[in-house]
Amino acid sequence: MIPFHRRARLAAAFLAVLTGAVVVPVTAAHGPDPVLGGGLFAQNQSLEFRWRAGSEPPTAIRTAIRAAADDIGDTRASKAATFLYDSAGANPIGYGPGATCGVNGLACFTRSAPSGFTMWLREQGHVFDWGTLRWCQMYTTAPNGCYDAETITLDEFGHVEILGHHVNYSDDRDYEDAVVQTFSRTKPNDGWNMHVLGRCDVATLQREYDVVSWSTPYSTCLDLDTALTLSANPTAIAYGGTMTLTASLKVVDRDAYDRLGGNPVSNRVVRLQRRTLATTTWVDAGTMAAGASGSYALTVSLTRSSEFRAIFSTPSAEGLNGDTSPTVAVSVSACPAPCPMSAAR
Amino acid sequence: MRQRRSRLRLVPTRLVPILALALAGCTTSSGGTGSDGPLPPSAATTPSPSPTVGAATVAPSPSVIVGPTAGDVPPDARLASEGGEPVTGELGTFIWGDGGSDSPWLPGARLHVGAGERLTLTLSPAIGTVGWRTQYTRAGATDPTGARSLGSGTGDVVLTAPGKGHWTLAIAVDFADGLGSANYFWRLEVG
Repeated sequence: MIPFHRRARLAAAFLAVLTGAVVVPVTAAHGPDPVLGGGLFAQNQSLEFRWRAGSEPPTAIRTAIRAAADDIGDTRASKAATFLYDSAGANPIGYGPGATCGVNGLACFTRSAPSGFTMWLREQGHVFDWGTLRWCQMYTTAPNGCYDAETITLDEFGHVEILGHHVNYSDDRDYEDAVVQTFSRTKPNDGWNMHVLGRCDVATLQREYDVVSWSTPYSTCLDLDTALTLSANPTAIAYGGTMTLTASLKVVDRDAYDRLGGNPVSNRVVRLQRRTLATTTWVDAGTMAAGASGSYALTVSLTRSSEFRAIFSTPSAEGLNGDTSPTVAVSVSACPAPCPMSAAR
Repeated sequence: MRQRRSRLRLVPTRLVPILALALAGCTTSSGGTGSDGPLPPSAATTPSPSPTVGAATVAPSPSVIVGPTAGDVPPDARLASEGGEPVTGELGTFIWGDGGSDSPWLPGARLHVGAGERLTLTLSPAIGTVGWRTQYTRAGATDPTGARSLGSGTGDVVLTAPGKGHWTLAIAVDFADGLGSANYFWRLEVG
């Protein structure tokens, strides 16, 4: 998990300029993608793009660009901006020799959130110092060494959102954790045709734009602590009476978590445990029913005063850390005569 | 749920690099590469080798520095051995200002050095850096698979040339003040 204290960073950067001090880099290997400078788009903002007049892509590349726009929408798992082709769109995407990319650039972008972006792809056959550009989509059977235009465009859309290049492990074993990569791969190398955002792309988009709903799984590239609380209502009942335990599960509210801090966490598995007062062994009391906004409830009937706790176990499929609630005590009044010989239920 | 923390807007985003470059010209640096003196006059503009989307403007006075605009590129990076002629690296993938460009792993600009020689990087125009990393592969590689490091750090970029052979060396530089980052490539011919 990489903390991004952007305000502090900007302030530090400004002070560094004034004082000549050095700012420590904020990227580290294998975490959520770093973020670019500049602002964010609005949550779920729709960014309509058009083909740049005079630099329209050929049909195969248009299809790839539109597919990449769909890829973002389908896999962002967040309220990041979406991209949609519209012939009257405000954001031009060009193709060809007019590209303003770096001299060795396959593709490039500019972003000025929240107002818009531009994008360019070099043309098929462009001759660089390093070789001749081949887009896989321009062939019936894509040859080895070609670049997948959909993957490259997805990378550029990621930049437009706010994503910087993922910092891989030194041996690149986590390459496919992000499509926003410093060096794109050619066919047939692993990751050459990624048509979904990687989990570390999604992690940053979630942190910057928030999750779609409280039920949305958090990217496994995140490492978020949760806070589980528990309350009883009522806290004192008659012998054999019923009461309801209600748990509330949230992401811990930390600055480093950006928009995710304090989020309710809904529709997960939260278990309730009980122990009779003055004993030490916890026994399972059942799975709590998921309610709205990260709440979970279970109604129980008691014949003995007891303590309860709720448990959210660390899930394997998302980037949340489990938590155990503080203990809640419930007192049960004495059994009225004639009292049956009963153990706690 | 949590409101997005507001981004501190000390100056408009596009002016941050302008301010940085301007101030870099009148301050000294304790660790940044090549920030020990005033910017040379040539740093007043950042020329682009290709057409630009946003037109660069000429500084109306020596005190105003033109920062990145769409189509602008990061500074040149020159690598030299002791006493040797510096060679400008090939610019690869970069993020600069409000934009960026994605490139492959490049073959690199040819540089003849001796095994174990000390190599020093300079940026032109000189701007502050906050970190750098290196990777090198055998010359002819088309990606960094199997690359090894020649070092990394946060101050001046000073390396020791690898052993005899032909290598592609990539140096990634993170610029100060959120200006971005860039990758530069050389083909080291180590004799």
